[in-house]
Amino acid sequence: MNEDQIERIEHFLSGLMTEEESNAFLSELEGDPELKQLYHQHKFLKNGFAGLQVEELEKKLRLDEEPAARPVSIQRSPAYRYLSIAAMAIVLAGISFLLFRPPLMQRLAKRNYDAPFAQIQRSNPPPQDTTYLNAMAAFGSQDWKKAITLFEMVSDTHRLYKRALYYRAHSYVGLNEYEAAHAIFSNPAFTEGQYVYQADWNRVLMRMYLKHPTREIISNLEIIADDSKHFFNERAILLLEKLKKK
Amino acid sequence: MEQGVYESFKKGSDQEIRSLYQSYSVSFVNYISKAFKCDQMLARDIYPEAFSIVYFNIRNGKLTPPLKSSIQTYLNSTGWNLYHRRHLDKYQRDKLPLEDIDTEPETKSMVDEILMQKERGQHVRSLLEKIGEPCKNILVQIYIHESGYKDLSATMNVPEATLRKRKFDCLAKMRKLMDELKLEL
Repeated sequence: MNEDQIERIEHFLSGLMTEEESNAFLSELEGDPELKQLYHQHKFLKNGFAGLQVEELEKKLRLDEEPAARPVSIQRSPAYRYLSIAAMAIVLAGISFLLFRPPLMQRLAKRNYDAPFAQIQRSNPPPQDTTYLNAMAAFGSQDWKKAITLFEMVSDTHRLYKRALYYRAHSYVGLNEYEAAHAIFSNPAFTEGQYVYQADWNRVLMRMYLKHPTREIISNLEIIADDSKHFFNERAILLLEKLKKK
Repeated sequence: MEQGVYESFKKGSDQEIRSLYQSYSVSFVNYISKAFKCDQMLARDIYPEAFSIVYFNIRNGKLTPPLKSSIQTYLNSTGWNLYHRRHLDKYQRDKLPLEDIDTEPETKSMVDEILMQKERGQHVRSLLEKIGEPCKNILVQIYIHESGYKDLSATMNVPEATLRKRKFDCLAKMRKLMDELKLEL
């Protein structure tokens, strides 16, 4: 692959080509499968770098945020005679919040859980992808039951089987059925390939939702925290810190 | 006024961005917590992400003047879409009164695109770890920190032409790994 091709792809993706140049480039892509493959790969990488850029800024902003600068929500009533009633209501609300809020482990799991983005990119899908794409559409509209049914219909010989399995697990999370999700994240299909790290991380989160013993969760997280190449290494370190503080 | 703010988003220093970040936060948190009747903590939690989405869409020229609404409205609307995607199940979404929703339609696709990019970012992070140094540093500097060849070649003490060559070699390594891992594009 030559460097000029990458530069042209970058120009196209950055919107730096004129309309005429863009049209010529698109027709060239259609006639050159190798260039088309290079284009899709580079687009994937550029998207990924853009995603990391956003994450980096977010992280910086969160770190910069000082407690004093955070917005406050306390509204003072000028009517002192209502003060005691208001205080009582706050105390009662606080007590019921403490009584009914989910346990710490589940709250931390919820805060750390991210449902993946529904991947619907093809305009002319091959017929064998129809079920998979319908499942993805159901996932995108959070129709979890339909998504589960359709993802289940994707055969294990289909090239997107692992992805279907992965999204089926997340559909169960959408239904709060963590046991089922945990079983799928533990599927041997995830011991290799592109979902290894995500499955690892989500298995731990499911165990947190399922209230597995804290010691077990900490030991699971330590394995990820010790692996600097793990996708979720930094998040595991942060989560461990929170758990240990409590 | 809004044009000045837009320019600060587009070209502002770190300090200016931080100050913009703080200036919009109270209204954002109030808007989201009122719109979804949720705890302010939750609204605060999505604010950095909403801000980053608007910031990068302005920086990358996807959100350009004349803007249909104020930056605050774009931020609130982005937060609305983020909250909608992240915290509501289908039942809750269906129950949400549509007539009360005052959002900018383009922020929905902005949010969707960034969520897709973040997901791909996880793969890219893993590929970067696998190819290791010096490739990781070169690509991070060029694509994430947006360092120019000139500055980077001075910092790394290598000629610009060598740096460019290394960048292409590193990208080729990344693509080779993508092939090996059979990453679905």
